[in-house]
Amino acid sequence: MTIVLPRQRMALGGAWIALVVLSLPAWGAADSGLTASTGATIVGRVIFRGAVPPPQVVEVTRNPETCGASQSIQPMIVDPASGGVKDTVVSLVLQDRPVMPATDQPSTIPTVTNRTCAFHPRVGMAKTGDLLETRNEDPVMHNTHIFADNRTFLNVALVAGGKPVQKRVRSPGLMKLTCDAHTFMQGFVMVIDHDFVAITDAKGSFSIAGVPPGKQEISIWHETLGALTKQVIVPSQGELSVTFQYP
Amino acid sequence: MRDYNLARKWIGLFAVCLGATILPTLLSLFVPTQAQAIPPFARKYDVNCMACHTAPPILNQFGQRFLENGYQMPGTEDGGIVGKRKLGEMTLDDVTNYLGFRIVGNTTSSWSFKKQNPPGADAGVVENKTEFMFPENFVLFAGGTVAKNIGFMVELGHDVQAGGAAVERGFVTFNNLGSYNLAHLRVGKFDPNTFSSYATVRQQLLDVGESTSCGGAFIPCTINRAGLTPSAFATKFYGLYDRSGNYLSPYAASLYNSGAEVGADIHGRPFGDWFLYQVGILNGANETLGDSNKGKDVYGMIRFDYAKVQNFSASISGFVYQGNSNAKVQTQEDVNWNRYGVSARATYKMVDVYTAFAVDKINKTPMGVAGTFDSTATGLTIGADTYVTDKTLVSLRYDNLDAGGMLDQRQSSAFVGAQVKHFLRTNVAIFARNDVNVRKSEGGETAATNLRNAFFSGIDIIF
Amino acid sequence: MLSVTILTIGLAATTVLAVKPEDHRATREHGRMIYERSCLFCHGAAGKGDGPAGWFIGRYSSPRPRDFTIGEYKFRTTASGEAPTDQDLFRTLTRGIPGFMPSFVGLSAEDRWAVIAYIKSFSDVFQQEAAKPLSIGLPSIPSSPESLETGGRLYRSLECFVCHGPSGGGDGPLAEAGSLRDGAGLRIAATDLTNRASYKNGASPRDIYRTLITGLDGTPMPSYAGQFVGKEEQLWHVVNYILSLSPEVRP
Repeated sequence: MTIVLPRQRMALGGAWIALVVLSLPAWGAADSGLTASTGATIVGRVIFRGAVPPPQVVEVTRNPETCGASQSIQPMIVDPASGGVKDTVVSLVLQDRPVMPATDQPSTIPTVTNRTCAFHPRVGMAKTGDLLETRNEDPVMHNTHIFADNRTFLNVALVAGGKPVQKRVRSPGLMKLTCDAHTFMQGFVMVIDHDFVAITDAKGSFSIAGVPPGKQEISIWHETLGALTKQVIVPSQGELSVTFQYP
Repeated sequence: MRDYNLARKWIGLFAVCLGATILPTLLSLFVPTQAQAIPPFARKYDVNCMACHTAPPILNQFGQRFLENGYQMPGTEDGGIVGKRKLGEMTLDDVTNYLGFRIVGNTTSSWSFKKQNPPGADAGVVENKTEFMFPENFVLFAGGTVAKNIGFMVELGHDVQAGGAAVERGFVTFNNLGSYNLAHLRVGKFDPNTFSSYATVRQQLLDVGESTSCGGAFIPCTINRAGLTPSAFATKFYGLYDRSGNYLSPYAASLYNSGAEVGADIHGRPFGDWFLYQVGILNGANETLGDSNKGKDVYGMIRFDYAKVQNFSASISGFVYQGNSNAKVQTQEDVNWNRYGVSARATYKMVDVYTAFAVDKINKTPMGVAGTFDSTATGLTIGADTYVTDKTLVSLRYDNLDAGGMLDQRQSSAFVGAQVKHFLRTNVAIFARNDVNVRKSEGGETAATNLRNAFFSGIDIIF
Repeated sequence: MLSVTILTIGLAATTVLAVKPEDHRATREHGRMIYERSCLFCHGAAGKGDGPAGWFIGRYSSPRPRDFTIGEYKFRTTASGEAPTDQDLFRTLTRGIPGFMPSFVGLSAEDRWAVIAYIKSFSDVFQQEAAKPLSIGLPSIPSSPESLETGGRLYRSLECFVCHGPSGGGDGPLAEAGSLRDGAGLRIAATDLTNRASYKNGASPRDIYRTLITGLDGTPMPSYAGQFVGKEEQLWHVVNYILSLSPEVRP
């Protein structure tokens, strides 16, 4: 949605230019879903230098022909060279809720797939208002049961070769995914009500663009390492480098 | 040769035991002290027993309010609606929603005494032995509502050991008189203390009667073996008689805590759920039917209920019971036998703890027994239940009886009982129980101290 | 007897809605008074399902009385994860839940609506846009040997037997392994389909259909609606098969 600036001849041309320049960050925030070319970008890494516990070996209780005899689960994926932690959700903590255009189409539908009796991705992200899709690519039935806090968000049977199920996400927070047929399966979807969110890659790096300038609070969350927050001052342009280190 | 003799000895013992159990015992053993979980109510309302009971027959707070409301759902006046069939203009009650029966009792008992066969005791009674027993109590009962705010309960019981059948309880209730929960009237033969924090008729450890040998009217019975009953509710006095001269069992529940008395009482929660009052008037203790002395006994009770959140509830009650010529002593003089007591209960999640303490006083000791009669007696009972699994209940009870009455007869006692009850189904249970005498230090001659240990196993089935 | 009551209630539903009072403060206050006389012994004074009588219903296992503050309900006509409609709550209060919650038909309809208004105030899920009931794929398909055969095939392909057992006795492998948990983490049993009296959401064909498409939130029972989009009538075969697993219940 573009803001049409009233093209008025003003007495002071400079004031008009200032008005345009000052409106630019508002443009950036209003153009949600697009990486804004204005505003600052926060880049950074999430590091953990401590001892990584060995992977958890989980016994497969059903359908070993599809799920394997056992599964090895390592929720803490740390790059040995850089110490970067994968699958950490990084987001701004916004005091004022930004204006979200109601008619904006999401560019992608966040999807969680049951594959080889595990949720892919194990840690996902969604924005409030998104349609969250759950699907099943296994030849056995999965009963995907999603909890938001202690309340059921969705509890659907997904037969082998059946249709995916979509449901609109309404409130922010952490959602936990389970399967009632395969109780060893576990997954997460972090729901944020704005766009300033990213998930770290294999090297623990993340990048959030179009951040409004000024004081901002950044919060990170990892499934086993937990949550951390940091206060930063974001410039009006350029890059701000932030590093989080888990103790 | 020896085996044959042994076999005969066992058979002989068994026969003696059978005979001993059929011997006439004390009159007040007829007074039943067990209420029921009522499966008809479960059928009527389509819920399982645990909606109203913690461990049947003990009630939880919801069941307590159901009982107070005359067997109508708490907060409702549904006596004319549920469990009935309308056929034309006739309303007929669905009988299965009203009728039930219970078989309960010990199937085996195992006694252990310090001194076998002391002088004066009946042969074969005071001996270490294990005996099989028929479940002693068979009860047929009907209860529910006949119309809006009119309820009833009738219990017909047969006590195999005591050898008789009787209408154990039978009463009618008129509920919500004036306005909701202002006053409920109960008329008939009922258990007075049913609304207090700890009701006589709701025990996990069943009453085990004492064994006695009795002479004629106004002659004291010899107690061969102590009874195992809640001390707070018991008669506590040795040397009291009813109007016909039958010796009152010191162990039997009586007065306000009696299992059944004839009279009328009113209860209600006029200020909200936190406060309950009860006042009542009875023909008098130990009057089987009718009032032979024109003197009525009266009582009053108040109860405070706390907390209905975080799986916790508690209550405390206090009562006063004033007797009016409600017993006699050996010289056939009347006494006024009064009782003052408190009881309390707390329930948190699976743990239920309750206690009762009562002080019995005989006003004005009669001249005939002056100096030989202790006119005060007390009893303390503390009990606890908890489910250790979904189907297994563990219960404990401590009883301390500080007896009064004729100085040459009275025997104080203290016992601790523990029971494990396993529910095969909610209404079918088996149990094993052990009672230990904790007053061993006193001389072993009296029945109260002679019984050292008793072990029971039994069944509890209710339909 | 209960079915007669249910039929009567069902027929009176339309007239009952006519006495539904406005949902405002006075109604909720009236509802609170009724709640404190009848409901809080199980559901707790704060609606958290922690009343003193509630623990004994399941003891260490499911169910416990509903925690209204979570806003999650089992018996609905709405989709999985949605709040129930007011009519859903009224139905549960009127019917009770066989075996666990008594029917409160002894309260007048107006009183029941007032209690529902109060109960809804415990959770803010009811402040969101009201959920729409799912439609039942009418007309129903009567039972027939072909229907039962299709239903049986679906019962196996939808893996119902995993919890409910091959003959519906609640003894499927997951149930026997003890791994079924409710939303609060308590052990929960799969309904014994051979005993219609124990169907908590009702045992009429419509009730069973409804259970299949809504799922029971807070339990492992999922919604199967997504698998039958465009072919809803197939679910009637499953309903017929389920009914064939149990004898007729004597009214």
